[in-house]
Amino acid sequence: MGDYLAGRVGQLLIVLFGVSVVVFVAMHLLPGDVATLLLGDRATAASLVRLRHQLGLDQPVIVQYWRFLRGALAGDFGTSLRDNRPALGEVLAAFPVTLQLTLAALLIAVAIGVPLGMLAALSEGTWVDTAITTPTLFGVSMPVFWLGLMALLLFSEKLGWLPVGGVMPIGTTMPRITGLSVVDAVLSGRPALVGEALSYLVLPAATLATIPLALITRITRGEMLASMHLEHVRTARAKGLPEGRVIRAHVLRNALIPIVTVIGLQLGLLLSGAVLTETIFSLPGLGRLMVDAILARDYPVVQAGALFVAVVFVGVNFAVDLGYAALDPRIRRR
Amino acid sequence: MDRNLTRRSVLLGSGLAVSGIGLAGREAKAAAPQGTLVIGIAADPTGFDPEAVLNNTSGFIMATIFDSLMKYKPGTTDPMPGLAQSYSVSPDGLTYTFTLRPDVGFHDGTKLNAKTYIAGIDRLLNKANPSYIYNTGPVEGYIDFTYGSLASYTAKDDMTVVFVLKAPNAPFLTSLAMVWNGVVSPAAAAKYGKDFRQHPVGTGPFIFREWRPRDSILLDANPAYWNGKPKVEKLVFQEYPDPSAGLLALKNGDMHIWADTNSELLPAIRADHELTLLTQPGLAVSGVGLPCDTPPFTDVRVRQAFNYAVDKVAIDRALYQGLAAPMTSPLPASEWSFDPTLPGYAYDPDKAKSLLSAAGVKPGLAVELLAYDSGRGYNPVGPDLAVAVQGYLQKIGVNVTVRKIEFGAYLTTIRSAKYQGMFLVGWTGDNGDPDNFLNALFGSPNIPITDTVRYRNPAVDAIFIKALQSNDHQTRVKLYQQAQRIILDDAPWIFINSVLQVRAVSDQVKGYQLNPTQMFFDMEKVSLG
Repeated sequence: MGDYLAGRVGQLLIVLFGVSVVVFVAMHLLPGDVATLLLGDRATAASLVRLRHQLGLDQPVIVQYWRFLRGALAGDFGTSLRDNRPALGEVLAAFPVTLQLTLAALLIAVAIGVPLGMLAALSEGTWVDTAITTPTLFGVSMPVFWLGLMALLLFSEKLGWLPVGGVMPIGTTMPRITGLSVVDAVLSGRPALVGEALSYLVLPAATLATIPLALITRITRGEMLASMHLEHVRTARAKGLPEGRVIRAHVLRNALIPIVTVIGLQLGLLLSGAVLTETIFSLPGLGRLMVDAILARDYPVVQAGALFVAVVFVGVNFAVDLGYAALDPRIRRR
Repeated sequence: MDRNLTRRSVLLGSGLAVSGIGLAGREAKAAAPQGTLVIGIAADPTGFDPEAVLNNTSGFIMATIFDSLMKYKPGTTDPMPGLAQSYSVSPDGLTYTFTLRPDVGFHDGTKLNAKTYIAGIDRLLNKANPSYIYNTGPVEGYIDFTYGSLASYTAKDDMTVVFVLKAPNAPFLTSLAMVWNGVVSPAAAAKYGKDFRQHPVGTGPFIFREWRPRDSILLDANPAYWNGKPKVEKLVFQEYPDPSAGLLALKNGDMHIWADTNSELLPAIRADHELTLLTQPGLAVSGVGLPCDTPPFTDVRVRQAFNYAVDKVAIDRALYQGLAAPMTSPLPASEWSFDPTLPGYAYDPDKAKSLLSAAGVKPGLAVELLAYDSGRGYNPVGPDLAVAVQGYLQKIGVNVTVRKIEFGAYLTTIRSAKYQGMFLVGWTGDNGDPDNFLNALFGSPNIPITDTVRYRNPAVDAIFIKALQSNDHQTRVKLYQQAQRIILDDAPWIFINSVLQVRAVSDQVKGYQLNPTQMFFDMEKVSLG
């Protein structure tokens, strides 16, 4: 296990270095620079020179990269070129919003998707199967921005059940402890706020859940069906095991490995920022932060965000690997 | 100050979905609490130090936190005393003396007097000042623009400050009224240092409480405001990056004023009888730049022909949904000294053709038209304008190739003396003074930075100098009207249009008035009915 962990950490370092180089080069290849974007039409040559100097953009690229690397190794990712705040601080402030949204969406997707997929597999070829698999086809191909808007129109505008967007009611003051609004509401000891926080979370989470939900349903169904026809399942049935146990211990358990992989992949993807959902529902998450930063050529923030996301990705992959080991004794022994 | 509209949501198309469906429900699930005025914004501000930042969203908020020495008469860009109770200008136009209002305090308790005011100016101009603004981070603002002509700044007595200029500069008063020259508490600037941008302290009608990035900015009413206690208790700027969600928030009562009203949603706003659409001529102009030193544009007949060839009225209707007015002068109608008697160039393709042939231009002339790749404050439709112009010029036998590039690259190209094609061009006013349009865009000392068409007319330059030196308003009006006529005839641009400022407001809002600079001035007068 020690070697395994060391290997993982080494892998992480290589990934981080690669990401930092790619992001740095990509940001410098993009046309337009932050100084021109900030100063606009009235930028004079002198004002551009001065601002570029203040931002450190007048240094050779390699020097800029070295400065960045030296800072990053010391935990200092520089300050945002756009608003002069610590870049990593901005990423860390935005991440809990995305984390909460992602976890809620995945919770919905797994809690509904796995049982639905199982049900469809067990009812293969019947109307139940069709009733489950057909909507999932729409689910995977549904544009999130359209779905989100329709959900807003229905639940906020027409029915008035749920708020339009944001994290909490406008102007609410609540101490920021974890940055996860639901958890902070619980910790604040004001039960009314918990309800409010949840009411702001449910629509974006449900919207974000559609694609993973459809995907997990379809994968579960497919994997269950594949496992159901394996020889050991036939043997299990032949030796007279009750059907429930066959499904739980022999079919589902085998099917779970690809399902966990998909869940892990989705988790990684969603954590890197659900830009469209965050935009429609006005959530101050990582996706919006990154898009804003890229458009503004604010590369300290892009850099800090990309590295952070890389760490998250590697972490999630690691967790998925641990999940495999828990599910499959053969992997554990290897 | 022009805000690049690259931030326009990727979801604009989806707006049509909302506007097309007239759902009637209006249950306000989370309507804004009573006594809280909510202004919807589309983008995140970048900080609140008036002299350091330069984007509209930051300006919107700072206009409620800070006051300037001068202010704009409501709804206009005419300057009047603000934190100054009165002022006088010496006959030579070099010495400006301001008497400060008594009993004005900053939100942190610091008293406004000549000493604290001068300390604020010193922070901008004196490198030895411990709070020197250039040591707090990047500075994008208007320090040179406003104070570049300054020879000295002193506190004459407890309540009197004196500015001496190196050369007469009539727009100085108007510049002082800009939100970007808001007066900051020197004590707070010293206390917060680099972080002052996140902890603004001014004298304005609202006190900054909290900035939640990409979410909201919370402010409390300043009960001791010198111009009257605000009529609402709290003010919130709430971000709605998606225009359709913004519209829903406005309909639901979550939002009261939509600062960045999206023109694509106007049909839905107009259809809602509980919403009001406020419009005002904007402080902006947009057109196509014709490089005056490059054949065939060296011939004024060619430039005029191009002006006659384009149907601006049709473009305004089709591309801008009627929210732009054809330019009939090089100045926008929102500017004082705008000459309403000027005819502009009516659509007349026959006249255009005859002018072209008189100039010896044969059909089939090929010209490039360079366009920036996204919408801008003065031209929300961005490169679509270039395509429209291309079509009209085709009709008079000119073959136009439209090339679209990123804004920074566009700026570098058009400012290079080598570039010989046409290009989209535009301007948003800074301080509301006509000099800031006419001289900036057509004064030869400003070639190639803002006079990008390389227009050079000694008669016009002489008028600009005279107008800068005169402190008599009527004299200046006459001079700028003279200049407008000459520039219009010289046609260095295809003068296309001036976009209107548009804001959707809920019917609950009383006492709100647009300002051509788009800033939220005089917000203490706004109430919720």
